[in-house]
Amino acid sequence: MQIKVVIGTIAFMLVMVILGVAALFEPARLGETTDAFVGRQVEKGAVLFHENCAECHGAEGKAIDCVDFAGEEKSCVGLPLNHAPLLCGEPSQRLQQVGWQSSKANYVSQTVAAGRPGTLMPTWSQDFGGPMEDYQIDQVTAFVLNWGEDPELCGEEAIVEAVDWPDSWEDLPQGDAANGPGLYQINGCAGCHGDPDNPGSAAVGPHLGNIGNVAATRVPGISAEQYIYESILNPNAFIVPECPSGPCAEPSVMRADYGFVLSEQDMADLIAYYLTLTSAP
Amino acid sequence: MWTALASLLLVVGSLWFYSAPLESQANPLVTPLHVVAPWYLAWSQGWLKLADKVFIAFIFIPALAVAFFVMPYIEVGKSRRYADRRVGLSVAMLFIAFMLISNWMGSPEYRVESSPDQEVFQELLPQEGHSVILSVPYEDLEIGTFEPGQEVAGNPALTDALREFEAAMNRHSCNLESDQWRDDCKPITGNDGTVTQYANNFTKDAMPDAEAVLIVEPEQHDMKRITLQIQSESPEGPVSTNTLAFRHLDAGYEED
Repeated sequence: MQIKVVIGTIAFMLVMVILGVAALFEPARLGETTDAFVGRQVEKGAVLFHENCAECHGAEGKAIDCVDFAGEEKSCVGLPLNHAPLLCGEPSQRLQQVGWQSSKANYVSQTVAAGRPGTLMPTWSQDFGGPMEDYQIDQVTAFVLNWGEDPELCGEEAIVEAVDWPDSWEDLPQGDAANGPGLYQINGCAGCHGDPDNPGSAAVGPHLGNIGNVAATRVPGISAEQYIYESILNPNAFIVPECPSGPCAEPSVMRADYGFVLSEQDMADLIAYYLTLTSAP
Repeated sequence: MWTALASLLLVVGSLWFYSAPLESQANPLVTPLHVVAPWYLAWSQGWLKLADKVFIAFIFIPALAVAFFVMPYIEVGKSRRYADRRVGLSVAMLFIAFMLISNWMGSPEYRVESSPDQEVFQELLPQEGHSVILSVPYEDLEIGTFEPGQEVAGNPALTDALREFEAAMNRHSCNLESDQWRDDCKPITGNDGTVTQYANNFTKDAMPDAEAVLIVEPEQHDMKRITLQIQSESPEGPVSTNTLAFRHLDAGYEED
């Protein structure tokens, strides 16, 4: 009888000791499991991104090198997501620009879930008629935000101060039009203004295939270069009357953060590129 | 004493010998390949292989449930002696034997085979559960293109995974011309005499002259993209398939 009591007491004490030791390591174990869960969220988000989003945003999320379902090259109509102004800082530059009061994760997940009315960005959540479950929206969000964890994108060395823009385009450096197509894609211009060589491709903003000819005639007394320069920096400076789907919206729906995104050289290159677009009407 | 010892056994077992797998959220629109019924329903999965699935699922199993309900009204004898209920107990023994075989038939060993390329993908990169490729530590999953069975110098974990890749390919492939490593292709012909598929010693559907590669590329700063590519011949001509997976630094597949 006594031996049973002794064995039972020892076993009970062992259970207590083991549970105590396990409790010491429990926070670390939970941390590892949480990290694993988040890591797998990112992995599953990557699968969803490549299946659904890469066609418009590019496989690297930079709005370049887009291919359609058949593997043919196509114009990227989505905005860049692997992009410092969207992902770096809390709040990031984009969130400050739009006056977003909640978190960056919430901004991305809400945009994925509900889409962007008036643009080609569709709704993805089943709550808004899309195909994805809520947890899949969270997975895509985790994947997009994971680009922001890259020190090369958001590290201290990567942060670029916004340019103090001069009043006149003439104070910009010499522009190189050859860099224009890349800048046009990576900054998401194609998402609204379409492919400059394809007049029917503009979805939201005016098509820019002939901007090199018409820019000088838009506003009396303002040169083509100055018109383009001011339109990029301040989308509400001049609003053209006709957009692809009717009268252009006032105020403009164009992103107003290019002053934070572009360097002076980028701006000069884009202006030089736009002036070469004189073919399509 | 027994309560304390049982508690000790359960605590030690759950802390060091069991780990709940971190699986995907359930999605009714996605059915992973080779779903396995929980152990207590394996018999019903075995039955599905016996006859038409609609008949088994909607008529036979409900009828069995009804049979259990009416059984007390059929066997009404008061005696519990075996001699007095030979038929009933014999039927029960036969039923138990039938259930044991049904459970065995419902085990993954007798699953319905998919196409050979999908079976290779499933063995190496399953949608759920332990994965040969993903369980290679993140640092050892070198960027590059690797062939099945390739020996990667100074990297035993990746070398082991590539050996398993080769074994999976050998199980599901055959060679149209004799080869010392893989089985020869055995043509299976249809009613009109044309070859419909090839078999080997392991499976009835094997990939002729199959070649495969494992490609590991950077995806994000802390995540790699893994592509498995298989090219093979078929009676209709060359076919190429691939599957895509990702491996995050923190995903912890080594623990699975």
